[in-house]
Amino acid sequence: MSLIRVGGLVEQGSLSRKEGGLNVSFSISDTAHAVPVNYRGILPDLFREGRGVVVQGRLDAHGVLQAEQVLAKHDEKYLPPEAQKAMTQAAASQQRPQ
Amino acid sequence: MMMPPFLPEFGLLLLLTGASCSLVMALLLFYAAHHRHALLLALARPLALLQWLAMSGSFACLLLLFAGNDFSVRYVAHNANTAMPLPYRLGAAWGGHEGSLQLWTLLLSLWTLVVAVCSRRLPAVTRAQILATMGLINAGFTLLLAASANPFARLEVIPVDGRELNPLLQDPGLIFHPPLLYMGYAGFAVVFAIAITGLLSGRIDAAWARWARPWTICAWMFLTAGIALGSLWAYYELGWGGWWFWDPVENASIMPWLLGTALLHSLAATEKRGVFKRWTVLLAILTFSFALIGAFLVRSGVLSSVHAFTSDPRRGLLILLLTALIIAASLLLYALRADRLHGDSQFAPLSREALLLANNILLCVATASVLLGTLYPLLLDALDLGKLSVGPPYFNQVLLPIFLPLLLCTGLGPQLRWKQQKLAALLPALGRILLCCGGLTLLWSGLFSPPSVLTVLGVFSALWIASSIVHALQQRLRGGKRLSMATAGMHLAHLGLAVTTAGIALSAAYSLETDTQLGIGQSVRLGDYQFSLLSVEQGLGPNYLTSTARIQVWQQGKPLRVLMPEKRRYQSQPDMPISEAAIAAGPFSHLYATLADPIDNGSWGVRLYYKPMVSWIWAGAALMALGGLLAAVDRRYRRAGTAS
Repeated sequence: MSLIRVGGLVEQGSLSRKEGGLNVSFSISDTAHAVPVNYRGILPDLFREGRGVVVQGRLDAHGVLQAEQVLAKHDEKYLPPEAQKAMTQAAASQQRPQ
Repeated sequence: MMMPPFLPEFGLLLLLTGASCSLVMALLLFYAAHHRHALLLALARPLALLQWLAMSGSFACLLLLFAGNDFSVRYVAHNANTAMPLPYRLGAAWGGHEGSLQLWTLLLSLWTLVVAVCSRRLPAVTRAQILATMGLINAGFTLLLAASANPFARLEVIPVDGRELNPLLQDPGLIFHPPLLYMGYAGFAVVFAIAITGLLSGRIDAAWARWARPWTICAWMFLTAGIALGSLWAYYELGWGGWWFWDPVENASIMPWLLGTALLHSLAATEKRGVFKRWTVLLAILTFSFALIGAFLVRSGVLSSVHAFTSDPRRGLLILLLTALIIAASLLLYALRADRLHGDSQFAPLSREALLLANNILLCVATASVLLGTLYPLLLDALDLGKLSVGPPYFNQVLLPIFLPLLLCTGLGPQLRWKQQKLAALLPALGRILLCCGGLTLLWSGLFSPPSVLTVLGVFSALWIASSIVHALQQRLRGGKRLSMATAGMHLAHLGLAVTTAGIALSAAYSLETDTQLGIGQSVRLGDYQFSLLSVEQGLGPNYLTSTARIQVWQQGKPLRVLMPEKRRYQSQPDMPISEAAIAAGPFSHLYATLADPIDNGSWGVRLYYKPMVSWIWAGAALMALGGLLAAVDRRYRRAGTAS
């Protein structure tokens, strides 16, 4: 499994801590598709539901991203360029059918 | 504090006065130099003083506005509030786009003044041309600042209190890092102006190079210190334990540093042997161009990074256009005039010149690699070929094979003679140095079982440089020759490079880290150390709430230190908590703790690092800067600097 980087928003209500405390799971989304993420470790200061985040890790057999690194930029207005673009595209494709 | 009512307008007036003085100085001096007008040439120094006075006065107004919390000024209201401590409010003056640009123009005007004062021995025409070039650059940027990013602009509706500076910036690092860095960036304008003057007059000789060297060394020294301080700040403030992230802004600062380092070395060859003349001039132009790009590209919002102030690229566009204009004009002049410059002498493939050439090639390739990695994603995006990001794996893999031979050259170069080195005379010396550093490397490997070949290579190169310095000093003492300040400075700077290399190699190889959760009274083991969480207490800072943990560190059962990492919530941005790492810093290792959020039933997330030899990275940079200082004050740079 190769190392990939995924950017998007942390979905509202998706963050949960498992027993053991440092294991967390959440999902990141471009508003059209969502990817579940598992991570063990300390989340960055700016990690919040509804905010932009970049996750680096490997996709497992169940389609869950096993994160090795979670980055939230130190600027509340910041959205990673990749995530920004994905969300613009997702918004455009959602509008088209109507 | 009572504030004079029209302070912002006065500040703007002074800024425009400074720009006008610079412009008048530039036009008058170019005219005077062209017509050899003695009376006008004599105006060089008074005009240089005048433009500096106006620029400093304007900056003093800006500082006063921050000190006095004048929120009718937009820039103040956006970057400071009454709760911030005074030192950070003053530092906030250069914490944003407008103020950092003004700081740059202030420091350029300072360099202009220093050149005017320290150029008594130069012919009046040469001095006039150098000052005129610097004045023209400063007039351009100052006018642009006043027109497109006026820091003194008023708000229509005056807020009761200001917004807050990004809490990450509220740190002593803000007070020292930007001014040092900008001193370096702006300082390369001097050698740039000297190069332009050389092209205009067609005289690039030993005297020219001797005059350019101390200015280059000074600017390089400031840039070295500024970059190192920024790296140290990132290390303790960002809480990730890293000291270099290959962030676009870091890359933008390392590129002029690499080119400036190349320039120092090629200037040495130009002064001593009259070689590389065209190359040195081109390098001077390129170094300043990259310094401009370093100072402004990142502020323009073209690159997104933690350092970018503005995400509106239009504001930065004018600055980039002026930067492009300066670079294009100077390269055009170079293209028209460089063919008049000829080298004076030849050198053998084995000689100090050849090693300096290798140094220059390697440093330029390194710069090009960093540039490629920084701009490649932008380029692909602009051509609509897809999005990608270039990160540490690229930079580490590409730069390592460039830096290793560079380190070997650093040890070898000073052993060689100018012009031609006989191999037979070199071999015994090389044998002794190799024996010394090879033996030490083997001994060290036996003791510490290095985890990878790279670690061994890093330690070997550091020892190689150190042994060759010892050898060179020994030779000099045996020969009964005095050690000049310039030579001592060179050895000290090279030693600094060895120390930094050792720090990088060893901290990368032996660092330990763990993310864990600790309840009060619980402990965790990391290497030889045991960390126990004693308590977490709430407290109140000047403009923030804080949770402070007390973590007792034990080493083999003995209490060692108490670490007190904090989690701060600033009043202005309560949902943006900031971790303040606690570091027990020793000469041979750091213990580093960051406090994360509370998890549940009173336990806290804690990130712990053991980082051996990490302080050597910055200690080495300090030695490099100190070496630069020693070299710059060498007496021979103050002797007759007149061009022949």
